[in-house]
Amino acid sequence: MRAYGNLHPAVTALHLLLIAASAMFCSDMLLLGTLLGGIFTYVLLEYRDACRHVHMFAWGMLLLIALLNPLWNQHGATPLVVINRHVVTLEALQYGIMAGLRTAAVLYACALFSQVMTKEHILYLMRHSTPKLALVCSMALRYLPLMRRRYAEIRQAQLAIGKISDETLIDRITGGLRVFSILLTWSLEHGIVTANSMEARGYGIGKRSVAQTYPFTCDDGMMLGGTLLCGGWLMGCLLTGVCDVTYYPLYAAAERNVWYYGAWAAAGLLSFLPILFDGKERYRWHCLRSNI
Amino acid sequence: MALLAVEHLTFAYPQQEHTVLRDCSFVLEPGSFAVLCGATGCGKSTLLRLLKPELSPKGDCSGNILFQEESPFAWESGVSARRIGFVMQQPEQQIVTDTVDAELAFGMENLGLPPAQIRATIAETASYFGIAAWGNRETATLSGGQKQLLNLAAVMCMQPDLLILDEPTAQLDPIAAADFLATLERLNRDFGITILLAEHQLEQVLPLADQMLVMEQGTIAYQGKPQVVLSQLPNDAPMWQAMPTAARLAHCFGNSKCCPLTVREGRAMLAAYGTPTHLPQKPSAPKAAEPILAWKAAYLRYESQDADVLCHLDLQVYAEEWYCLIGGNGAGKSSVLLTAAGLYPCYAGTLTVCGERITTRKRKRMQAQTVTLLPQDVQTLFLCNTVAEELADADAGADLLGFDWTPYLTMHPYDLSGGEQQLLALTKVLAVQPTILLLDEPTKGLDAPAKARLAAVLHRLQQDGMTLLTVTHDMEFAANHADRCGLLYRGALAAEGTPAQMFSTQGFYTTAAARIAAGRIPHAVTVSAIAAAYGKDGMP
Repeated sequence: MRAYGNLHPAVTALHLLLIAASAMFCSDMLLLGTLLGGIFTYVLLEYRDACRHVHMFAWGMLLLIALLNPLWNQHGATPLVVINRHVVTLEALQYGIMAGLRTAAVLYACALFSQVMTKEHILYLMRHSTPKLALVCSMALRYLPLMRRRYAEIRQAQLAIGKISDETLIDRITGGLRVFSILLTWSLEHGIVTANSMEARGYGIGKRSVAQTYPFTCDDGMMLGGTLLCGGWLMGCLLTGVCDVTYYPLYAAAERNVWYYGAWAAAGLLSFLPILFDGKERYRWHCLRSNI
Repeated sequence: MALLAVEHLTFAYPQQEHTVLRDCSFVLEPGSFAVLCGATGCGKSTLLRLLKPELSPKGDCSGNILFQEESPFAWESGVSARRIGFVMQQPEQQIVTDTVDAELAFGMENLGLPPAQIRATIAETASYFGIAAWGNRETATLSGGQKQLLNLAAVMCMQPDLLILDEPTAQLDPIAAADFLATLERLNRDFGITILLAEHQLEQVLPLADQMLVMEQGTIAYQGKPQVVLSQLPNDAPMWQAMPTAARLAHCFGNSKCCPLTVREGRAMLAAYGTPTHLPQKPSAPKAAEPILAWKAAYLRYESQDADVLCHLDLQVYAEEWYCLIGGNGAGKSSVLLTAAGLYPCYAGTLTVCGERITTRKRKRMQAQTVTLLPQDVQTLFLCNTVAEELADADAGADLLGFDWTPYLTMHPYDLSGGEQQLLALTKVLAVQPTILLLDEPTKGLDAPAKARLAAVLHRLQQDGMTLLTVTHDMEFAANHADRCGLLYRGALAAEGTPAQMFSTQGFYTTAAARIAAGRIPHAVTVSAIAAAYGKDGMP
């Protein structure tokens, strides 16, 4: 069964980017709430365990910003309560809630991005724009764990011959420096072997090609169409100021007209697209199964 | 038409009077499997690298290299990358990318081939090599043998005409080495791909080869079919030490007519010689002495959720003996050494060092002074830029091992040969004047003379009162030098005894000599023991 997670990487990347961008440009609580609601529901449905540490952080941030802004910010004309000669205004509270919603929405979009876009997806997208950088990334991804393992190996060897010790902090620091120095020489020496191995297989003789491709299917096309339509409409509305909200000194919501409700529908559709897509796939699977 | 013809090749590195290669000439026919052998430093690697334009060293070069009557140096870029495959010694460092698929694609991507073609080639190559299931695995999770197989597959993806391999199995254990060589033989047989392989351990390689090139001091001294070369090789040639057991046996018998290379041929030769005249005596049980290192029902694991690495280990090492632990990969051999060196505590059971039970608190200080470990990869010990500084860092007299360091003092430790690096590391390790020396795979990557030199050094240390505990895959080394051996299996001792006892009762995991002698000469597990049974001199 296909799912949102294995759509063409360009489509998912564009979709999540549009959500994050529109959340950043948006200052309307209803729209932000809708964006957050859609993406939060999807994370909860599909990536609950993988993102469990995100929930605490995102909702904590929302609460923190919503509460701290009125304490910090004294703009606004409607006083709610006075704490220690400090006026807490309704407008500042509203603005805090909006900023909190925005932060949480962006955080969830990023969390979903990091779950859906694997290393291969990102490298694939990079390969077409900067093939050299993609290769460097792939090599770095191999080198970092290699260096870590090697560091442990050298440390063990030095501990075993009593050249370093890990009893005190000073011991650990000087020992660490010694191990690092050995690691450096080793890496340089063995980098030569890697360079030879690259050259022997024709590295640097001309333009490199890219082996890995992701097929662009009908599903990807539909998803891309939906994303562009909703995202485009929403961004258009946001940038032309149809949904602009004034917070200070008095809260003035955006005018509720066709454009505004259009933008709201677009935000809802955009953020619930993953759920709709997975639902469609589940339904298809269900139909196939019941026909067997 | 010959695939490769090398004519009068002479080479010297820049600003050096010493010529590395002198007048080398040889011809490789298409589909041949050639083995290039020679002592360390005789110019094998230089010769191989000169054949591959991308890796060819700079220097004064004369003579001709002709690949199907063209010079590879005149080819357009990319042609030699494709037509000449090159596999090096180090499994880990040859790998460029982080996943198996990306590694297989790397060469073809460099050539700019279309993606569909690359994917098709990867699919068929991975299926042929039996590595399709690795798919998107990270290369770091592969074992040494798997890495080397991946390197071979990545080179074969480019479909070369000639495959050059520079000591590809030196860093592998014997089982992985046999797998790798079997794959090479299959490539040679199934596709007729021409192979030129440099190797210093010929036990498994020589039976596969149809051509043998022996290098001596920069020149090709002997070449031809292995049997022919062996019959020409002088009696006192140092190369004999590297030859397969059966060939060495025939050499001891002074038999230059038949030249057995495999165990099967060796057994046939012994059958022709009839019953041995001087049967070796039944080996006496090893003398029990005061144990200096003792594990009693010891358990070790690295993480609380992991499986036990040592599982009810009962092992005693006596004072002033040389004990060899053998066993397959993952049997827990290295872990035994790590507990003895005090790097990891046993979570159950006891470990006694020099009569003192090791408790967690006492562990570090006490063990660091009495026990020391020579790691598997000795480069983890080198810190300085020259050998002289390295010796000073060790506070060691340069003559500790009776090795003359004078010519090497200004060299970088990495520029020493494998055997010399091993000795330098040993000097550093011995600086703390331990009573127990632990060695992890000390013969890995060493050629036969270096191995003999290391063994001599270790025997002298043993005579001076040191206890040696060695972990090794090299059963021949264990059979020749150890006082006692132990076979480790899944974290516990499965068998123990003198080498003669152990290797003559074991049918599979034993030396080639023991397999040749099996059923004919009881308790003979080395070439010299077999030769002695027939009243011959045991050398070499």
